[in-house]
Amino acid sequence: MKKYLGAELFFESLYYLGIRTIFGLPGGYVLKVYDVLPSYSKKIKHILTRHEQAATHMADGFARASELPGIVLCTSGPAATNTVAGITTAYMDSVPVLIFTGQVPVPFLGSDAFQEADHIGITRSCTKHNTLVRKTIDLPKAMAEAYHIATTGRKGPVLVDMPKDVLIGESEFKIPEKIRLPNYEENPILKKKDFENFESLLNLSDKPLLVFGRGSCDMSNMKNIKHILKKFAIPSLTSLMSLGVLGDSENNFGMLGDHGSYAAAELIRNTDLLISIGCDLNKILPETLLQNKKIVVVDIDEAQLNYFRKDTLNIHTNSKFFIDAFKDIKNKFQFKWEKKYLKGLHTKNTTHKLSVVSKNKKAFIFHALSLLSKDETIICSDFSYQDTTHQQFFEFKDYRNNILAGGNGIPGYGFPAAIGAKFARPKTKVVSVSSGANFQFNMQEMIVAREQNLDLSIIVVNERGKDKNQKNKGPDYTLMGEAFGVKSFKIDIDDDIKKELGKHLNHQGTRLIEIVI
Amino acid sequence: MRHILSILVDNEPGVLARIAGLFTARGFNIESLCVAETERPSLSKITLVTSGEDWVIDQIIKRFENMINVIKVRDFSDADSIQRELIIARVVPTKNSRSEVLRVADIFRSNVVDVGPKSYTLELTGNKEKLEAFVAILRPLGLKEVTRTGLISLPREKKMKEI
Repeated sequence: MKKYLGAELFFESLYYLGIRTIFGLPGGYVLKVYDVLPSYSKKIKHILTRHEQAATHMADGFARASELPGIVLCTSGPAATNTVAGITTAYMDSVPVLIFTGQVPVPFLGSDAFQEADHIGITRSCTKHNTLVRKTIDLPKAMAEAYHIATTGRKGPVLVDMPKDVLIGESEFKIPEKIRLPNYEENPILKKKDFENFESLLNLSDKPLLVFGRGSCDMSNMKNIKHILKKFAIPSLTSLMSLGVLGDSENNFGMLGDHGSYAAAELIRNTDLLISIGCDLNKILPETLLQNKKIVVVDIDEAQLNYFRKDTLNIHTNSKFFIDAFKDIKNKFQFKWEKKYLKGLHTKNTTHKLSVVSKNKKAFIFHALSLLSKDETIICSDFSYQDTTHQQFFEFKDYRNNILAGGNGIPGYGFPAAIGAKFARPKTKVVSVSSGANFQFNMQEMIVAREQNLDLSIIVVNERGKDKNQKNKGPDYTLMGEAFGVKSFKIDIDDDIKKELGKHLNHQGTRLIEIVI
Repeated sequence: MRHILSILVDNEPGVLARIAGLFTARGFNIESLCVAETERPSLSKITLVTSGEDWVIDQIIKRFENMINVIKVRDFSDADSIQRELIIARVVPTKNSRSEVLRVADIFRSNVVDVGPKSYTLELTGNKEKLEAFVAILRPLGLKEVTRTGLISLPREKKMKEI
């Protein structure tokens, strides 16, 4: 059998696993990988980033936009520790990301060698799984297992640590076709009794309410959800993370939560049965709001269950199985939601929305973008909890287009994630929206956007642009963009935003649009 | 409440750290810990004693079950189970108490595993209460040093099916 270098095995395995794009940065202990990269450059595209954190965010954005795992390659020590912020972000939002780090040769492990860090120890609490490869022959198997673990069940990041001597050693290419992990339960099946209990609860209920969280976001689910909403006419809500999963259904009443829609608050108050599917409800709703209501929680992760009162019906299963079974219920239910009431809620929702938009400038920008984006647009945004969650003012029609760091709420996520998303779906328009302060965290990646000549719109909301005190003024982002070779424009919020934005959104190449508010 | 967890894991480096890490994250103390290979060399069994609120322990158990290297977790706290621990105690008696130490050893059915001109080394197996009583009685007789294995446990046959 043909012998390969460890570094070649790395690319052979990636190619075998169907991976075509990786994000990374070279360094001492992965030099062998970069040595052999030119001979694989036709098979696998490597995108050179300028910071490992940004590489992880790009892989994360890539994964969210495409539902394929995002791949990061970097060296040991400082590079690996730089990825931790990005790994935690992926872990909190259950995004499949594979991180491959270089490591000092096996005999030097634990000797405080140059650029050595204990990657396995450091990332233990922020990865779904991590593993150290000790022999060249084990590398393909470890990678296949990592791929399997990251992309099945409750998805998440997996780190594979590759010592230098593993990468320069020689071995045959042996990769298992089927992964066997005795304890790993990827798809907990829906127990018949659980579903019967659910059916009888639904039967007794007058005013049920559905909440779809990120866990219900799956391409095959989207069709079935649409079907359920149409068939049973149950009002439904989404969480921030799952905006868009309901499409443009008339039973979509917006977002749940502190800054959620008007209708969400009303519906929660009036419902008698709350059904949460793949949603981290206990972090969004205080239990006081749920008194005198029956609760059903469906989650793939058993550790997420049992957070509410004892009479909660906890269903441990993959949301796919639950939604499939839900779709096929033959009963006809008589719910007591009045059509007039629900219609009124839609109107109130719109009024409330417009009143927020007229007061809040960032919400206004998202609203304007929504009106301008007739065709599919991916919005990558930074989280900002200051006044309201602005993302809900963009009307998403597909959950894959809503890319933001929810659980980790990390600043500087949006822009690198937009680059990743663009690589995942090159034909789709991608817009990144960040405040100036957030943008500064990862703005060095503008050079990547320019190098790759990505059709990307970078919107930077300059909150301090109008401050009269020169000391308080932030950097001039337009000049910054120009310095990176990105065409940049400055708009004032008082201008005709729709017209000005419209000019810049449909264009070739990367553009930075600074909106001074 | 006191919990005895029996965790079957892959016999691989890093697994114990993963398990212990979850306790650190919650600020829980591990009271006793015992790890050894099982009848299958590829698997290890960890027996762990800790105290905490029931629902938090429940959550921790579910997190264990999510780990790739964890095969099975059992909580013995409510079950009727056999619990054993081994202690090795070194006693340096005064001239007058040399025979008394041997008498105590006899009463507890403990074995003398080493003897020297100055000291006796005793070994004893039993449950927690028995070992504590043993230590309390030996202390005035010149107890110098003690090592305990930590608790190991298996459910009784009757109860096996229920767990």
